[in-house]
Amino acid sequence: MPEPAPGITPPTPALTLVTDAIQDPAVESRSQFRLALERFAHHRLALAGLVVFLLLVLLSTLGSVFWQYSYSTITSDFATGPSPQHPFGTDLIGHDLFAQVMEAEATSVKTAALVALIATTIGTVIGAIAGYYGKLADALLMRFTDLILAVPLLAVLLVLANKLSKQAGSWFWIALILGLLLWTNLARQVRGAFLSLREREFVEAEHAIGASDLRIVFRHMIPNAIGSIVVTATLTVALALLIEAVLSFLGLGIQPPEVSLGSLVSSGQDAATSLPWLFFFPSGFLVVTILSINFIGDGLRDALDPTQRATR
Amino acid sequence: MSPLLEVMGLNVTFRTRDGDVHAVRDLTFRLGRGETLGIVGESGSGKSTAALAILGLLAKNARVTGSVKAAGQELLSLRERDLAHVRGSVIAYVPQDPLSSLNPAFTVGWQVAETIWTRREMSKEAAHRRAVELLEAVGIPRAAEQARRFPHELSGGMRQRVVIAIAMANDPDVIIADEPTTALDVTIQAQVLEALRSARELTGASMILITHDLGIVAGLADRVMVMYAGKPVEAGPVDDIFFRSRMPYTLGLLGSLPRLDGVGYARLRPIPGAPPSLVKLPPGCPFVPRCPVVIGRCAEEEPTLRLAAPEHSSACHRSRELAAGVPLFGTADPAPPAPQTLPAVDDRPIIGVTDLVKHYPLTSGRLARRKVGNVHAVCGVSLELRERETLGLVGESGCGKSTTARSILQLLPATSGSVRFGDQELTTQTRRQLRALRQHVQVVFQDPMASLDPRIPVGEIVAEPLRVHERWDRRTGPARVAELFRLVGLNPEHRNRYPHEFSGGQRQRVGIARALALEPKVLVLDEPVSALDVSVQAGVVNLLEDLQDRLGLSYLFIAHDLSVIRHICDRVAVMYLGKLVETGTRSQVYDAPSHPYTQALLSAVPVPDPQVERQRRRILLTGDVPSATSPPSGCRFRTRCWKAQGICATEEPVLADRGQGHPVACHFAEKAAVLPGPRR
Amino acid sequence: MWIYLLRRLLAGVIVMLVLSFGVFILVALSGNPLAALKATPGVSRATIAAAAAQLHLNEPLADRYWNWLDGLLHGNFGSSYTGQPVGSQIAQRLLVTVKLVVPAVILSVLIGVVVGVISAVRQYKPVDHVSTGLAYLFYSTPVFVLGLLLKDFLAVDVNRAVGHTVLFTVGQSTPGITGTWNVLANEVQHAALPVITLTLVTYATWSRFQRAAMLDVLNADYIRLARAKGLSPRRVLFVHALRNALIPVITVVAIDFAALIGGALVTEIVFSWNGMGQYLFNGLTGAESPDVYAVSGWLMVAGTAVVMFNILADLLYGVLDPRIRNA
Repeated sequence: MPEPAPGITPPTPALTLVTDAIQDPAVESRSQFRLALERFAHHRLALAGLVVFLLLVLLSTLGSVFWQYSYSTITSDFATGPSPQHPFGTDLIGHDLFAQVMEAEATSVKTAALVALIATTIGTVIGAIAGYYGKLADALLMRFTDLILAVPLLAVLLVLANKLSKQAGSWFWIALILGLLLWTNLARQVRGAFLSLREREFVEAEHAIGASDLRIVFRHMIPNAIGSIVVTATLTVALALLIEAVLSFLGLGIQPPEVSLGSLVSSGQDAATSLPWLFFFPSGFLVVTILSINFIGDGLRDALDPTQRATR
Repeated sequence: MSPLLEVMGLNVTFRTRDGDVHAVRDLTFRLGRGETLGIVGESGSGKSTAALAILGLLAKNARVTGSVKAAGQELLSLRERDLAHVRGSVIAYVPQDPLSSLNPAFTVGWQVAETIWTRREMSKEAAHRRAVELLEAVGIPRAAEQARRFPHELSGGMRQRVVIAIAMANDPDVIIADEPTTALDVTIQAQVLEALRSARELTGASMILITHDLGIVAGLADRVMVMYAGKPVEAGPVDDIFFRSRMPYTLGLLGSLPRLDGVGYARLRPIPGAPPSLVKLPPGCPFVPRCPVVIGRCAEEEPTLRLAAPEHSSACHRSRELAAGVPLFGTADPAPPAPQTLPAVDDRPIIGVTDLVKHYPLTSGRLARRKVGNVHAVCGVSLELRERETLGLVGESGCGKSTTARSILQLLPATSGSVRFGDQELTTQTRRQLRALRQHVQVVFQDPMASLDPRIPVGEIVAEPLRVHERWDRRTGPARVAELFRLVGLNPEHRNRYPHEFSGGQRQRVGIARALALEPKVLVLDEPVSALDVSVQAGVVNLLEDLQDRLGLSYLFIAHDLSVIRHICDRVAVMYLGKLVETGTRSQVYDAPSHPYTQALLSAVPVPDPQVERQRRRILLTGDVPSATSPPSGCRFRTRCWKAQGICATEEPVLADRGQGHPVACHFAEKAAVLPGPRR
Repeated sequence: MWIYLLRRLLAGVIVMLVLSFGVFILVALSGNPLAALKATPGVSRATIAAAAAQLHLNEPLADRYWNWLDGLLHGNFGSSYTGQPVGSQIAQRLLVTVKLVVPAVILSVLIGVVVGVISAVRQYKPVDHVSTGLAYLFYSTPVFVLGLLLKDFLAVDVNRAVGHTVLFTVGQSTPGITGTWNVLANEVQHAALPVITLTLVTYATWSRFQRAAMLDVLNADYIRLARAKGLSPRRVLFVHALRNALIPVITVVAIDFAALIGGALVTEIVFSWNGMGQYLFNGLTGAESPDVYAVSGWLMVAGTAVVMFNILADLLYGVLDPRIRNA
C-alpha cells in the first residue's frame, strides 16, 4: 500500500492539536474500486478475455438478429463446407451452421449467466448466515452444504435433467437445476470470508457503536467480501458452461429445436471426420468462450482478492 | 585487521506496480571482530531489507547493487549454491518471527541437527547430540525432550531460542538478529536477550542487532546506526548516539519516547508527520517535512553520512550546529489551554466492575471438534474507573486484559460478575437498552488499519455512529464530522479519502474521532498506540491527554507497554493470568512495586539509556506463562516466582493492602525499588 | 482418533441413507417401466399385473425402498428392470472404470506435480507461461471436445501414418485375441486415448494447485531460514519446500479420485467403454424409464467411494501435517 507522499513544505506550528496530521498527501483519492480496476487493467490476459467475451456476446446477439438465415431455417445446401454464402458451412439437413452457432452461443451464455445468478444468490445468503452467526446455524448449513457436495453432481443432474429437459424452454430449466446445485462453492467462500471478517476490528467497532446486524452485514461485510463473491461467480459461469455443454452433448440438456454449443458438437460428431467444420466451429466457440471467462476470473481474482491465490 | 563484514554503497530497489521502491539507499558500514552493531529504525526504514540483502535472501523482484564483503570475499556476485557455504558458518541469521520461520513438518531438534550434519562431517546421531547441547545453551529446559517437539508445540520464547540455536550451530563469525524479540512479552524478551548474549559469548561472533526498540540497543550494542527512509542517517558509538546525537531525527526519536525512569511525567515531544513513501522520494533530505531546523539547502541536496565527531558520523547539513544540544522539538506541540472549566468531579465510579469472570470453551482439532476444557481468560476482576481519571490495565499477552475490556464493553458476554455504568448494570440489559447506553462508553482499538472499514471513506466512518443512533442530520451532520476531524487534528477536507491513504497515526486519529462522535463519557482504549511507530506514538498520546482535559473523559487504558502506561495513567492495575496482582496509583506501582510479578515486569523493560542499562540488575523470570486452561492452584504466579513457598500453592492470596499502602495479591508482598533512579 | 473415524463413518452412512432415499424416490417417480407394455395392443391386464409384481411396482414406494435397503445389507443389490443382477454388473463395470481411471490418476499426479513445481520455481519465466497457458486450455476444454479431437483426428492420422491400427478408439479390447502379451498390448492400445483424455483434463487442475501450493511454501519464512542455515538449494527445494507443498495437493487428489470412480462418464461414452459412468447413463436413459435399481446400486458404490476418500483425505492431512496430527 503506497503511503501518501508528503509535500516538501515544512510544517508550520499549528494552533489546533495537529501534529502528524499536517502533511497533505498529494495523492488523489482512490477508492478500492478504482484500485481494483487499475489492477485488472494490468492483467493482459484478463483484458483479452473480456474483449473476446464481449465480442462473442455481441456477435451472437447481432448474428441471430441480422444474419440472413435463422438457426432453424433449412436451406437447400446440404453438408457444404464454409463458403461466403455459409461462412461456417451447412449440416447434413441443410441448416446454416453460422446461424446455429450464433444461436447456440447465445443460449449457452444466457444459461450460464442465469446459473451464476441463482447460485450466487443462494450461496451468498447461505454462506453469509453461516459465517455471520456461526455456531448452530453454521453447523447446520454447512452439513447441508456437505450433503449437496457429496451428491455426485452428475447423477442428480441427469435424473432431473432427463425429466425436465423434455419440456419447452428447456434452457431455463437446465439453468434452474444447475443453479440449485452449484451454489456450494460460493457458500463456502462467503462463509470463509465472513468468518474472518467477523473477527476484524472494524466489525467489532460497529458492534461497539450499537449497529444492527443487518447494517453490519450489508454495509460492511458484503462489500468487503464482494471480491471473492465476484470471482467465484465468474468461475461459476465457466463451470456452468462446461456442465451445460456436457449435458447437452449427452442429449440431456438443451433439447431440439433449441440448440446449444454442446448439442451442436453432439449432432456433428458422427460426421466429424468427413465434415470437420461441424465439429470445429461449435467446439472452437465453446472452448474460446470458457477460456475467456476463466481469464476474466483470473484477472478479477488478482484485482479484487489478492489474498486468494489461483488454485485452479 | 580487515573487518569481518564490510558493506559498501548497498542499494536495494524493488520493482512494484506503483514504481520502484528504494528500500535501502547507500548503506555503508564495517563490522569488526567481537563487535555488536545495533541498527535502529522505524517500520519501512529499510533495516530488515538490508539484513536480507547482505545474506542474499531477498525475493527475486529486488535489485541489489553495491558491495558486501565477508572476510574479504565479495558476496553479492556469488551464486546461490556458493552462498550456501557462507550462510550459517560465516554469517548466521536470526529471523523475526520464529513460528513461521521454523518448518512446521519437522521437529525442532531435527531442524537444529540438520543445520549441523548437512554442513559438516558429522553423523546424524552426533549432530543430534550437539543440537541438544545447543538448545540447552540457549536456555531451553529439558532440551532432549523439547527437541522431539514440533514448532507449534512450543511457546514463542522457546521457538525464538530454537532459532538462536540454529544460528549458533555452525560457529558463525557474524550473527544478524532481525527484530529477535518483537513479538515477545517483556519478561520473555528479557530471557531471549539473555540467550542472545550467551550466543554471542559462546560463538565469539560479532552481531548485528536490528530493532525498533532503542532500549534494547542501549543494552546490547557497542555501536549504533540509525536508519531513516532507507538510508543510514547517523552512526557512532552507543553513548555518542544516545547522549550526543548530531541528527535531528535521532534527537526527535529519543525525545518522543515516554520514559520508565523519567523525572515527572512531562508532556511528550512528538516528531510531526510520518515517514515518507519510498516510491517517489523528493530531492533533498527525506526528513525535511518533519524537521524543525530546516534550512534552504536541505530541500535541494540530500546530506550524506559524514564524520561529525571522531567515529561519529551523521547525515545532516547542520550537524555541527547541533553539537550544542538544543531542544529541537520542545515547541512544536504545545499543550492547548484547557478551554473551559469542567463541572466538578463526581466521586462515585463511572465504571464499576465486580468479580468479572469470562471463560471460553476450548475446542480442539480440525479433525474432531470437541470441547476439551475452558480457557479461564478473566477470573474475578474488580475495577473502578472514576470520572476524568485514566486507569491503566497492564499485563502481558494472554493475561486477559483485552477480554476484560471487551466484557466491559459488552462485546463479549461475561460468564459471571457485574459491570456497571454509573448506577446501571450492563450485563443484564437487553440489546435495545444496551444500544442507547453504548453512546456513553466507546472504544478505540489497537490496529488502526483493521479497525476501519477499508471500503468506506473516513468521513463516513466518523459519521457512522451518528447514523446508527439516528443523530445524523443532513444540515448539521457534515459540520459535526468536520468538527470531529479538527478535534483530533485531521484536515476535514480529507473526509472523502479512504483509510489506506492515511498513515498509521492518522488512521488512529480517525478511530478516535469515531469514538468521540457520540460524545461518550468513557473511552476504552485497547492498546491504542502499540501498533504505531515511536515517532508517531507520542503525537497520539498527547492528543489523548488533551482530549481528556478538554472533554472531561474517563479512560480505561489497556497496554502492555509499561512506559506508556506510566506516562498517561493516574492509577494502574497489573494483571497476570486472568487476575489482578497489584493496583495502586502510578507512583505506588512504579516507585514501590510490591508484587514479585510487577517487580519482574518493571525490571525487564529495557530503558533507552546505555549508562542505565549497563548498571541495571534484572530479575529474570524462568519459564513461560502457564496455560489459562488449567491455571496453577493457589497463587497463579507461583510457578515462576522466586519467593514461592508451600502456602502459595494451597492458598490463593487475595488482593488486599498488606502494609504497602496499596492492594497487592501476594503472601510475601514487599516493597522494592527496581527502577533505576531518575536520570542525571 | 478412533472416535473421530467412527463419527466420520457414521456421518457418511447417514449421508448415504438420505441420498439413496432421495434418489430412489426421484428415479422411481420419473417414469413408468411398463408404459410400452401397456401401450402395446392385446396385452392382457393379467400380464401387466404380473410384470408389475415382478418389478415390485405394486408395492408402496416406502416398502420398495425398505426392501431394497434390506437386500443391500445382505449384500444383495437386487435386479435391474431388465432382470440382470445389479451387484455383479457393477462389479464388472467397476473393473473397467478402474482400468481407465487408475492409470490416468497416476499419470496426472506425476505430470501435475512435476509441472506445478517447475512452474512455481520458474515463476513468470517462459516455461511457467507455457504450462499456465496449457493448463488453462485443458481445463477450459470440455472432455468430449478433447476426446473427439483425439478420436476422430489424432487417432485417424496416426493410424494412417503408421499404416495399421495402433490406437483403437472404441471399447476396452478387441475380442478373440490370445496370448498374455497380445492381450495386454491390445488393452494398452485401447486404453491409450481415453487415458490421455482423462489425464489432460485432470493434470491441468492439479498442476495449478501444485503451483499455488508451492508458491505459498516458497514464500514462507521457513524456506528463507532454511536458506539462511546454509542448506543447498536442492535440499531446500526437495526436503523443506516440497514436503509441505504436497500436503494440500494430496488431499485434492484423493477427493478428485473418488469422484472419478463414479465414472469418467463422458470419456467412457466417447470411447464406448462399459464403465461405471456408462452404467449410470444407461440406467437413467433406459428405453422405457430410468431404472431404479441400477441407479441406486450405482449411487451406493460411487457415493461410498466419495465418503471413504474424503475421510482418507482428512486422515492423510493429519498424518502429513503435524500441526493437525497432534491437535
